[in-house]
Amino acid sequence: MANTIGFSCPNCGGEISVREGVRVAACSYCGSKFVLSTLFGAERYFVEPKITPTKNTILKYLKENSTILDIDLFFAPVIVVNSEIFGWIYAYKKGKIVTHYEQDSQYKSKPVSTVKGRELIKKSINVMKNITIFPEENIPLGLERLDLQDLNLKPYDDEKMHKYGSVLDLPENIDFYLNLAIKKMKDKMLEDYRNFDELKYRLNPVSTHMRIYYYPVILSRYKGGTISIDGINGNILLNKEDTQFSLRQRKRIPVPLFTFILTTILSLSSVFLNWKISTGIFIVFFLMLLTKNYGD
Amino acid sequence: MEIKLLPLECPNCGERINSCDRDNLFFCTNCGKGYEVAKGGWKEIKVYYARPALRGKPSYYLPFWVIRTRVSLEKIIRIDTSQLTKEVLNNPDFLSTLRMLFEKKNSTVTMDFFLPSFGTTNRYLLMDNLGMIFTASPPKITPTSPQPMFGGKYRFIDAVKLIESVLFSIEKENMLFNYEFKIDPLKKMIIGIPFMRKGSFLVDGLKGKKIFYDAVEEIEEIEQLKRRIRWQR
Repeated sequence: MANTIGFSCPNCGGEISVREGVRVAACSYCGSKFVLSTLFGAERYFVEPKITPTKNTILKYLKENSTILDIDLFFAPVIVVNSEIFGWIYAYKKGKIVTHYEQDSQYKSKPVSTVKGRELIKKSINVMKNITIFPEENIPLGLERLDLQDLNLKPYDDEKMHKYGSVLDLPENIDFYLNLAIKKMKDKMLEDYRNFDELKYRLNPVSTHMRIYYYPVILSRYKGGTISIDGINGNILLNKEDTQFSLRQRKRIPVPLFTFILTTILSLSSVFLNWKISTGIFIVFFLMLLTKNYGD
Repeated sequence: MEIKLLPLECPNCGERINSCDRDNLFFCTNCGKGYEVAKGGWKEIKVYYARPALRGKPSYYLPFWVIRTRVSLEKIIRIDTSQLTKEVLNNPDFLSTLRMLFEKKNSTVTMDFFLPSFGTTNRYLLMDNLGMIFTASPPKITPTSPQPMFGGKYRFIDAVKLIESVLFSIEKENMLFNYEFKIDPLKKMIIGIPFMRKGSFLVDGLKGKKIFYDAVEEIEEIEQLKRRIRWQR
């Protein structure tokens, strides 16, 4: 199913629904026809969340008695690029080396190798390619599990979106993602020819179109982990146990014991070895400070 | 970038413009002017409609970009005529232009490239058919009155990218792959070329070349629009 984009009719205010990738729109109320002004660059849309980010929502996905530390809803950018690729690919399909024996003038047989089935491929290319990029690679959110089909897209509305939650910025500029998408498309097309000889190609992206969907994601930290949930259908995107959290817990256990032993040894030493009490106290505090930092 | 809805009306005569869903070029059926959307507004394109040179009533007019281009090449290419397609070999004028370009160092020639601006399906690869045939052997264009025309998908910026692909389709092997051509567009226009429907084919009304009927991406929608306009009139 194609995604749809909702606009208000400039003539009568009625809702106009435009299928994604379509330039021309008609108002079903007043019959006026329109063309979308943006053809190049990035169009930005957002999807309205359907899941409310409450404790009860999150608890459904967690073990009993889990403690929720915080819940956030934010819009994560997902980049969808489509383009027609035109051009030529030229390469030689590798042949098989066939060895046979030939007799020379002295009636001795010599092995002779020849390549059979080496074939020139010159292929005219005219294909439509579609690629999705998730820029939040450094934040483990599980965005690649999002279902990007059949979305009800709305034109980007900063004010409205901020009523639901925060909006994540793109880590790089638009051109970076456009070039990345085109590179990925070309790489995918050339995959089948990588083993060919003398591969040459000229591939031109035409009618390249980039859309950025701001998709609602609920992120919650709980004691022992982090969970991210699809803000449209409530599917779990990622439920990750916080290994660092557990490690800290384990490291903290020996700290009081360690401190206790050291304190005892030094206190006894200061008494029995006739140290000055103030020196003993200073050493004990210094060591306690060290062990506390180590524990954190 | 803000997305606006522009009323689909001819900026010249105010007539409602009929177009397919995926069109990027728009033609007024009343005054014949052509437009594309650029920088959030309408931008006019020069459009001519060609009178059919062959017998028969045109079923459709399909838009082609004609781009006058300055092509430059630094190095010399030795032409192996056995590697050129028959369309090139049959047209001495085009062949001599290629010789001027390939056989002299730092040469520059002016060439007119024909590029379909309508979308095509996989049944017909855009590059190695009509674009190359019309480029190698340009049809004689006699202008006629504006005709209903739809299906303009590729904008000028897209068409310029396709010029090199048309150039590569003049040869069978890989003579040109190793060379860098400098391509500067000088002049652009759209020519509406008449096509007659013959069974499952469309035959162009200038040279009689055939393409599959369903090779035109939006042919069903074009057919519907044509019927609607006839009914309105």
